[in-house]
Amino acid sequence: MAMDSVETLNLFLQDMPFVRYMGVVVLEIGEQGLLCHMPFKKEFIGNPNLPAIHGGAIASFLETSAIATANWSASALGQSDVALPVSVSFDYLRSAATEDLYARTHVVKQGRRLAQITCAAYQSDPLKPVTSLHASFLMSRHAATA
Amino acid sequence: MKYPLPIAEPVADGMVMTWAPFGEHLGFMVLGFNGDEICGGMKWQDWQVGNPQNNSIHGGVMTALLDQTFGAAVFRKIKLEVAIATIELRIDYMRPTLPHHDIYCRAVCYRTTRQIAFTRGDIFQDDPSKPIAHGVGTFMLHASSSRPPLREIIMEP
Repeated sequence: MAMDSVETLNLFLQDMPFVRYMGVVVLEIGEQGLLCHMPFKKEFIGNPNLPAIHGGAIASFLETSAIATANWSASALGQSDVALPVSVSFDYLRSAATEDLYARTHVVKQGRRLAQITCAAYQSDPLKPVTSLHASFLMSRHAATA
Repeated sequence: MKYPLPIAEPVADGMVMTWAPFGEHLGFMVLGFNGDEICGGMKWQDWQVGNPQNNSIHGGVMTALLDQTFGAAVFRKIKLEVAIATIELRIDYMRPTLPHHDIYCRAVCYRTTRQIAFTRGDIFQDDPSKPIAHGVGTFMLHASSSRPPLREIIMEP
């Protein structure tokens, strides 16, 4: 399946049960990356005192956004491979309020065997990112093996 | 769930990580302790699948499990109830999870300073010598703006 439109990318994401639960969608395709969105749910809270969204919920959102980006980027080069995450790193910059999250993603490099992706998650202000990610993806012909 | 390694201090029936709603919702449990090490886990659940081709669990679930078990390991080590915050997490995925097999996590806080805690841990299923994922996490202690408690002084630098 060519993942070259918002619709096909969302069909790809909707195939993943956990992504359906988290509610992550692609909103826009840009020049070098995507804009993704995750609506807030009460279950995402990690610290009920602040309150703040769980670092793992933000990580799930960002990793999903990065997976969509790596597969979109591979598809744009005409590759039919599936992008599998190998190493993922998160920087937590601010606590995330109990609101929707957005992510701007960026393809740092798309190669034949590897792709490097960065993403930044933000809430009301795109200039105040809450968490950033950088990840390496392996391009695999076989979805079942890393 | 049957943790595939000996546990020095098992927690009968496990303890759900209720202090964070997201972890509770995903089913994260503390199964016991080996000294400073937290033995944790979660039941395999089909709604947490991330790759429908091989029915493996989404990486975000594993990141969340490591993050939360790291946090528990920090508290286990410092023995203080202070606000902590994750600063940085790094996860390596070594193989996909097998479907219908429960998932286990062990984590330890191996170093603390006045302000920072360093953690490491891994995720496995039936065989701990075949890790699913490995992670390291860095935490800020006394993360809220409130003044650190006096007990901070008695901690080793």
